[in-house]
Amino acid sequence: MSIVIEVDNITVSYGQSEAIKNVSFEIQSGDFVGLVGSNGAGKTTLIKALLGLLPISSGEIKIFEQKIKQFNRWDKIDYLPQNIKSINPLFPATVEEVVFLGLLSSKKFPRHFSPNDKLRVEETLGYMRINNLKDKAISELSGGQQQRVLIARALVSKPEILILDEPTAALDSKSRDELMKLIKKLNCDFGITIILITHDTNIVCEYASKLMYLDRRMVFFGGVKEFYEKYNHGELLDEYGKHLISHQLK
Amino acid sequence: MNMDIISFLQYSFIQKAFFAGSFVAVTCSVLGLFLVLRKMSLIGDGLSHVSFGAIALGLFLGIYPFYVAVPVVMLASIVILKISEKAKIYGDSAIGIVSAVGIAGGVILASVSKGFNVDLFSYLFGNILAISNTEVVLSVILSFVVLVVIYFFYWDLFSATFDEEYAKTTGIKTNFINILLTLLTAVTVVLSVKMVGIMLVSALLILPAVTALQLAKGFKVAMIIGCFVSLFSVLFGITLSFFLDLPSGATIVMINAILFFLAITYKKFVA
Repeated sequence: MSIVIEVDNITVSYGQSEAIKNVSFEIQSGDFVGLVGSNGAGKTTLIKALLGLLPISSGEIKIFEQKIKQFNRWDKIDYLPQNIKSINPLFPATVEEVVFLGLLSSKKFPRHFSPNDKLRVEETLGYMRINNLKDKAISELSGGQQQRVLIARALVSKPEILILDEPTAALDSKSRDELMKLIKKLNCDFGITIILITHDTNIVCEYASKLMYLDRRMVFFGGVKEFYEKYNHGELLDEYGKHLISHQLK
Repeated sequence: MNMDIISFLQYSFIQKAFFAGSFVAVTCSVLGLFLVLRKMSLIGDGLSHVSFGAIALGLFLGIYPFYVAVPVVMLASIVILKISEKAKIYGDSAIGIVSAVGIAGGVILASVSKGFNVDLFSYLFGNILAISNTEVVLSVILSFVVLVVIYFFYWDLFSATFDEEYAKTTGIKTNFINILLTLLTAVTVVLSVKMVGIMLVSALLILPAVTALQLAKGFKVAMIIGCFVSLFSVLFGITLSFFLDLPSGATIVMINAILFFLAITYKKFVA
């Protein structure tokens, strides 16, 4: 399997304060990485750095073997932001219009869409089983439906890496299970590499193949099984790590 | 009455007002939608105050006010962005600072010159019925330019307005889009001053957009509704102001406001 993301000793700072320090890892094509850590551990900072939204103070990020500054195939990576509450309730965008936004990364100026793009949007809406919502305003939908629309937006460009920031946080358990099965299906059926930030240890145990445990620095990165084998034997962890272990023991 | 309307439409100043007014109305409604959704509505108000100072400067220097106002207001729009960025203050405070400086500059120039007070104060409330040929040509050309730019950057503007962070991940230069939007607003504000006056420009940017937002499901639909609302307000406002001998700018704004309240009522009780 090829390496799709290579992070070498990066530090990201906000002013004087270091949000993450000396973090290194490699993610391979087809990995399903559960990214965990307490609040303020630097999870969102790390993925923003991977998406080029935050500059790194030192170190190097390579995506598909290209340094991030030179990387321009952003259609290969898509992102589902942390909070769907960021959707302006006044914004009259329809579901179809929102999904079109996912294709912008593959367009050059002036960005306009072709009939083929429309077909692709319709296919994606069909795959996500939301074609009946196509003309509805996104602000009128339930949290679960909005999340599906945003995943459709992320999938329409056929990305090879999908980064999701706490996608299940605002969902009830039924919607959460449906969403996670869908994400797993994307990982298994289409080989999409998944990086998923979550506080839900059930999700990590059930769906992820690898676990990345961050506490401003890298505490652990490897197989989920390895993590529990390693830390079950009394090695020191912080409160959050102990919580992860105790959950698994239950 | 029929005869009256036919002869009314034959007046060249009415034809000019309808022609220039239609272009400015469409431009304001399209741009206003982006501004309202980005919570930048008040930038129109601030820049219109700057245009007061810029027009005073034009009159003071003996240069056609429009020619001075366009670059000065564009520059002020960049200053607003830069102040909020560099001085780390909220955008509304930056707008407040620049708008106050604009008004203060205008008042000082008016006081020093003592010769153009009447001209300057006529810009406060505008009068599209007194629009000159040069102003018609400039309004049409600049409105056309603004609309063409919006057409080419439509999806960039849409994406940056809907979700700025996501827009960045798709390679859209959101800082550039912000600058572009404020520059377009600056041009549009200057165009609208003649129509409704400095005091009422922001209404022309805000009201058609918020009316459309009450009714539309879909961004393009909102844009189309906003254009119709704005066009109707301007054309009907000019007509009404002529027949009832009312100030044109204030009449246009009042019709816009009535349509907004009708839209709210429709949404609440019918939709």
